[in-house]
Amino acid sequence: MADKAVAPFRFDEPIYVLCEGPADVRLVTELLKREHLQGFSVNFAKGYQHFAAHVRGLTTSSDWRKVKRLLIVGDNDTKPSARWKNAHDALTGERLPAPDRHAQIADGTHGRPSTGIFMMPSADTAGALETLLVEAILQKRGNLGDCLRQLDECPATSCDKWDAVKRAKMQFQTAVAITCKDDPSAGAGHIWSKTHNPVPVASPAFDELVAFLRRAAAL
Amino acid sequence: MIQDLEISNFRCFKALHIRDLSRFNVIVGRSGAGKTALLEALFFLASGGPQPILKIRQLRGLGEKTSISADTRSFRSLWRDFFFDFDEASTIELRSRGTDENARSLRVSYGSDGATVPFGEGSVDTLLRHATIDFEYEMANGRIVGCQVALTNQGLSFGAMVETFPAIFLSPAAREDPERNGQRFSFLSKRGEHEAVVSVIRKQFPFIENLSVEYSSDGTAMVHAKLHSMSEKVPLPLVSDGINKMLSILLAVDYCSHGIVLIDEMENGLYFDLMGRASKAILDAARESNTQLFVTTHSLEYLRALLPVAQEHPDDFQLLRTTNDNGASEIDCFDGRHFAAALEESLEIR
Repeated sequence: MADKAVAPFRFDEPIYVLCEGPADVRLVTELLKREHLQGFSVNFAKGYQHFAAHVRGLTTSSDWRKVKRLLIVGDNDTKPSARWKNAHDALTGERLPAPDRHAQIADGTHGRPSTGIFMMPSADTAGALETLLVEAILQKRGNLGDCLRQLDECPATSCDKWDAVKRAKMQFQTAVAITCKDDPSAGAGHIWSKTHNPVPVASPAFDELVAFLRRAAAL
Repeated sequence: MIQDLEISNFRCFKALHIRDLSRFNVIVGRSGAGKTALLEALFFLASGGPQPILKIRQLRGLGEKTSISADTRSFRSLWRDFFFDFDEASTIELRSRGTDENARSLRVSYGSDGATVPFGEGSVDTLLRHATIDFEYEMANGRIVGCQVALTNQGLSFGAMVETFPAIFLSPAAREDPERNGQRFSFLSKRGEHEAVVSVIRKQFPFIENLSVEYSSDGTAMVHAKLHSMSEKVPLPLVSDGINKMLSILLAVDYCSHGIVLIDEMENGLYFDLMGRASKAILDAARESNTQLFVTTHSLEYLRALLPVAQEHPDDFQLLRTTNDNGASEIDCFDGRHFAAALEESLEIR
């Protein structure tokens, strides 16, 4: 991933994955490594609001001709249909083909790349990257689930009234804080380089996203 | 303004059609991909004759003087590399569309004659096949006017230039003549309109109190600067290359009202901190005088400095990227919103 302040992002790979932020980039990169998938460049916009600007900029880039597939990986947040539309509009705004369904790959036409959209955690479900990360953590350490639930319901907090995304973020950071001894404050992007990373990359929680990436690689 | 440009058989361009040109056209691309060639095509279109060849040779670093010997081959060597793939049997065609004053087409081809005329003393050895190259312009109103360059026994003869529209070609390889800048400044001053330019320069460089045209010690009239810190006025080129460049551009923009200013390697000589502000001031001046800018650059720093200006005035910008993958150059065009988005998202556009 390029340092945006220093050098423009350059790439040679035919599959371009556009994520919302650096933490998403890191997850996708880890999954590509896990699956030994080749031919991907992974970059991020500055938030979902910038998907359209990023795609517009990408079609202007001197590397655009190399892109054979353009994938968008975003968060549903609390408004799955609005977030889906936002990602979809980013493609159609540049007259690119756009998929009709979550995780589908739309065929490229007239020299334009094929495209796909994957919204985390999955179709029409409120949540974000952290939702998947927490799911993966709990699949490995089920006993943490009780702690997180108790914290959720603790009368000293009002977490149970938070929306799904905020709760997922709270649960993720709490799980990291109590398991990642070498860096209890590690964020979702940095957790992968920690010795006590509680997120198992092999978790089935990521299988749907992995299947999407595999499909793109196989086309 | 030129909105649309077609080029055939010129330099590295086999056939090209550029649409939606704007006020401030930024040209990027690898070395040898045709950035300067595009400026040359525009310069020929505007100039109403073949005379730009002398300036272009100078800009291309082919020397201050153009000398040819008394034979057809030497004559043709002047023009040969303007033809795509050196195909001298083809016809160069350039066509601009837009406002009437800037719309025209130009066809350049060798004359069909081949008469033998005596050269010099007239001995058999110095006999010369009469060589000509024809520049034929078709104006917006359909009128066709021609201009011919011929190699005759009198030497090289340039026909009279036909109607031109204002065009100035600024290149780091050939700095703008200080005397010419002096003339342009004086022209402004006589109209009482120099203060706008002085004000822009003063705003960017507060240590400058005023500008005026004065005679230098060798008798050349050139722009001098009165600095707050010095008691005597100083020739502007001695104050700063960057300030002199900016003044050259501002004067060129004013001089080329309803015409074009072509700037090769815009970033050259401009301090990084000045690039954005200078570009804004130049755009403002171009809007004011209805001048169109074509600017080449390799510099990411310069492009990034343009971002706030392009974000503020996206309709005034167009990005043109030249590429040359298979011998013939192509140009991809992007509007100001795409240009700004790519810069904002830190994607490579050069």
